[in-house]
Amino acid sequence: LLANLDGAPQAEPRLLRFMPGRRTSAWAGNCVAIGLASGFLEPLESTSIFLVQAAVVDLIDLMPSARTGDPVDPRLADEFNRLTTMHYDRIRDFLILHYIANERTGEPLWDYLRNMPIPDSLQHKLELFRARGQAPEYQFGLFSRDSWLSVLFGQRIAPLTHDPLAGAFDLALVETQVADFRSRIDGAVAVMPSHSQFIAGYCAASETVAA
Amino acid sequence: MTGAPRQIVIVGRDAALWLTASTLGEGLRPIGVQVTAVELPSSLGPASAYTTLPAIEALHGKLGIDEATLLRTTGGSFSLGWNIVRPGAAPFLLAHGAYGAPIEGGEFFPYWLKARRNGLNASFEDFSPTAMAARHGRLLIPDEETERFGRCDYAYHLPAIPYVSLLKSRAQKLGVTIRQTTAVTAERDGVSGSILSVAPEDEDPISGDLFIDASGPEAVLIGQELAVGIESWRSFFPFDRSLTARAKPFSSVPTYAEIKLAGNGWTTLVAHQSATSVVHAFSAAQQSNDQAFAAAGVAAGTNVQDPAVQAVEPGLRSAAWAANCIAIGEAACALNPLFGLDLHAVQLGIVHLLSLFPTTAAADSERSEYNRISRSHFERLRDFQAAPYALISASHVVPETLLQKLDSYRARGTIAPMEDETFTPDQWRALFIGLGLEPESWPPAIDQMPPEMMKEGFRRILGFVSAKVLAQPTQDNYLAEIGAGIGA
Repeated sequence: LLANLDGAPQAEPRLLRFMPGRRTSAWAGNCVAIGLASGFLEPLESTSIFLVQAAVVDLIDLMPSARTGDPVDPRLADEFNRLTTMHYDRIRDFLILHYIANERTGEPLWDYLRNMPIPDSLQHKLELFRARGQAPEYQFGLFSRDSWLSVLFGQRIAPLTHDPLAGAFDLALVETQVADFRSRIDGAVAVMPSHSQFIAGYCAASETVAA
Repeated sequence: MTGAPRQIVIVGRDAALWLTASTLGEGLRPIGVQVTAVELPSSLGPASAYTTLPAIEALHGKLGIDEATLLRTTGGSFSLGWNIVRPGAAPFLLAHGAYGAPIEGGEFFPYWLKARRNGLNASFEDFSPTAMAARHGRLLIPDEETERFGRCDYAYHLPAIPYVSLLKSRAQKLGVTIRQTTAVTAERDGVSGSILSVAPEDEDPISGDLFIDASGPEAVLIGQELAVGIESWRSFFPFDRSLTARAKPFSSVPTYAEIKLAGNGWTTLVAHQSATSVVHAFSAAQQSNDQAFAAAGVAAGTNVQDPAVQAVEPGLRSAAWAANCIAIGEAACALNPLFGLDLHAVQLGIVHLLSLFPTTAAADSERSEYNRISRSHFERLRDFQAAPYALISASHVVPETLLQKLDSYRARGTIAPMEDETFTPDQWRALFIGLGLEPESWPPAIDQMPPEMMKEGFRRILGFVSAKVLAQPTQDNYLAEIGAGIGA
């Protein structure tokens, strides 16, 4: 870690230990677990803050009666737990995807990850993508179809073939349109400021803040 | 065959057959796939009509079926939803549109619920332009303002026989090969079990790569040939018979279907230009066919004729796609007749097949995804249909997923988000509210809004609804205006 830093570290490295998983019920009785208390998947993709946000939004909707002494309605907890489980399970599949498609043969960790058992729901998604380039698309949950596509392609998982209906399009026309799309993206990117320019003009850190 | 299928053979009847044949003909012709339709005798009678859902408009668009032509040639009409009537309670409209609009960016329903608890007079449907237009005998033609307000959709009531012949002629024009027969036999591969060909009676076999069973409950391929079983939904639905008849058309055609719920059955009046189709669902143990016919007449308030009785056996084919055979429509899922969702189930099957059109002969990934996604959609439709039964009589078994919905709705008024829903949260709430089920609480966070601001929100919405509804045409006027009247 230290070898990869540009300059001197600003603090001593801290070692965190974690066991990936989620609590079987994030909401039990009159206690709601939010954030790391409800579970932790992985630092990869930094999904913890999203899970905190989703839990807060769901809790606002499902917040029990404000009257002191009222028992907590277990039906509210059940729905909260159903939603939390859905979020965790979908993120879990997405994170595992990053590991299983590695190409680092001969390294025990990565060899294991490539061959480890994976959830059926992920296996199904992978098979569908390998067969025809179709990526998961769900209405509820964090990662969109585009996120799935970028990791699937980024991990160099190659679909065997494309959707046969795509055969109806004229290849030359598609190539022209894709090239046009590409050049418009390049044009849009070229006029954007650099990250440091943008920060300097928009939200530069004040020098008066004490370290 | 090693690659994508080249020859598709559809065996079936009526709308399931012709909607599938025409849509596949249109969608697959560009990639050189040949579609053959083997037509079995129709099970439709002169009284049969389809109720559609708004999604059908897009499919008609792909098929080049123009709306005015559709309604004129079939004698069909527009429909904004269902008016649901039950003894001892106010009727309510289950509409194809939004109920309310956000107040200060917050969801409408909890505010309405709170105000209602505090004495607000306006009912939930008063806040829906679509429901109110229907209530006042008008249509609701979507425009920029309604677009900004929220969903304002419509569907159709289509007399079945002319609709089916319209679809059949589209299929013909789109290059579908048509064969007619009274029965088929199939030849299968001894090893894989796949269907190799189907033979119409006294004719040469038609070979294919992919076979579609659109034969309805008979399920000639998926059931009789491949022996794929059915998971019964009988315990969720009490009625096992449905009677269809017709009455004379209304002098002024309503813009909704009317469902009359009663203890021993329900009756739906599906009004269109050429007649009013009457569907009566009942239990053979409680009513004879003659009694059902009489009940249908009473519910229709006039003489009914051309009765036909069908057995209703709700259930889901355990796999809609098995080997190289795909069941579409009732062969895949026999829904309860409430709300008349059969045509929509056909559309779901077709859309899923097109989005998963196989890349290989084995089609293993496509098959498992198709079965997963079909089941999920059909189960959500089932839950919506099962809700009135569950709420009116406590004696039925309720599907687990519907129980979850009912629990969180009763506790808080939320509609538990689930994938693959056909009906919107507004429609679920309109159904629950209409059936007398009020949530016990609302999110405490909404108590922060000052009452004046909430009232202002209600006034604004009610003002919009009444102005919009007043500006709408009646069904008859609009049909005449677009050249869709049968007298035109």
